[in-house]
Amino acid sequence: MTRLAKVTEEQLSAYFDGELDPGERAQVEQWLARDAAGRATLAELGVMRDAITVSLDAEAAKVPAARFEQIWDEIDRALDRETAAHLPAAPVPSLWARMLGVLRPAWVPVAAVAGVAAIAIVFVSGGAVTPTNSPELAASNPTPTSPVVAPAPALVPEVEAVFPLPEMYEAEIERIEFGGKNGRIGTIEGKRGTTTVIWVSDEDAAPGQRSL
Amino acid sequence: MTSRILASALSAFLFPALALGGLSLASPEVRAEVKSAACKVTAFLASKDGDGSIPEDLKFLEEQLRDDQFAAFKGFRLLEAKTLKLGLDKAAVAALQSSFTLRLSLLGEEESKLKLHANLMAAGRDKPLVDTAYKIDNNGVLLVGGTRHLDGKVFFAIHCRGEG
Repeated sequence: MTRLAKVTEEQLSAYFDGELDPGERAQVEQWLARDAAGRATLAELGVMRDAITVSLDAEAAKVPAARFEQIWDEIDRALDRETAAHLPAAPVPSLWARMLGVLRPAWVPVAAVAGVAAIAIVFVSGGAVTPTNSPELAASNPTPTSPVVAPAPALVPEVEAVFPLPEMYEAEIERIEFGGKNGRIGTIEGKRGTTTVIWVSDEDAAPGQRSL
Repeated sequence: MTSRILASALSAFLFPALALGGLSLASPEVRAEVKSAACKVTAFLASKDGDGSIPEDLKFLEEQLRDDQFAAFKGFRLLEAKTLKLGLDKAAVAALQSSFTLRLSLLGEEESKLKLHANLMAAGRDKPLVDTAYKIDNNGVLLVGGTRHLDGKVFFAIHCRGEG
C-alpha cells in the first residue's frame, strides 16, 4: 500500500472506521474518486471486517446471554476489588478498644456472673478468705483448698458431622421417575471431575416422558 | 547341601509371606462391603438476582455453579444442610425447612460404588418430584433440583460416603 502517496494507510483506516473529521473525510473521498487502487484497498478492508464479524458472531452465539451477564459481574467484582485495594486502610483500633467492643454487648451479664462467682467463692471457702494483697502474705498463708466447682455444661453450638470435601464423580442413573413433571439428566464437566445434575422442571410432562 | 536347605527354608517361609504381603498391597480396593453410609444433604437456592458470588458454605460447588448450565442464576444462598446416617435398606428422611422431604436409602455397593435410592417430595404433592436409583463413587455428589421455591429455584446436593 505504499502507492498511497497523498492519503496514508492510517488516514484510510480512519476513514473506513468513520473517525475522520469532515475536512479530512472530504479529502480522502476526493482522492478515492481518482485512485482505483485506493478503492480496492478500501474494499479489502470491508471484506476483512465482514469475515471477522461473522466469525465472532458465530462464537458469541454459542454462549448464552446469561453467561455474558455473569462475565460482566465477574469483571465488576474484579474492578471493585481493585478499587478497594487502593483505598487507604482504616486505622487498626487498639487492643483495649477491640476488647471493649467484644465485651460491650455482654457487659452487664458478665459483671453479674463475676459478682455471683466472687460471693460463691467466699461462702464455699467458709468465709476464711483473707485478703492477700501482698505476695509475702499470700505465701505465708496455707494454700486454701480450691473449691471444686463443677464445670458448667459447655454451650457449644451443634456442630454438624465433619464431611470431607466431596469428589466429583459422574453418577450412573439406573432408574428415574419425575412424578408427572418434566426432567432431564445433565452433566457438568469440570477440572475436579464430572458431576451429574438431575434437573426437575416445573412443567408437567407429556405422556411417555415421565420415566427412564 | 546347605544352600538347598536355605533355599527350601526361604521358599517355605518367605515366599508365602511375600505373596500375602503382595496381595494385601496389590489389592487396596478389596475392603469389607459397605454396611452404612453417611450423607450430607445441602439445600440451596439459586436466583436470578445477585452479584454472582458463591457463598463460603457453597464453595465446594463453585465449579458447578459457575458452569453455563447455571448461568441463568446470579444469586446462590444456602438454605440448610443436614446429615443423615443410612443403614443398608433403611431409609433416612431429611425433612427440610424448605418444605421438601428427601428420603435416602443405601441399597448396597456395586462395582465399588455406592448404590443409593433418592426420593424427593414437595409439600402438597402426592407424587415425588424425583424418584431415582443411582450408583456413584464413594464421596461423590449428585445434584438434584430446579423446581421453583421462594424467589428462585431450589437444588439439593447429595453427598454420601460409605462406611464399612
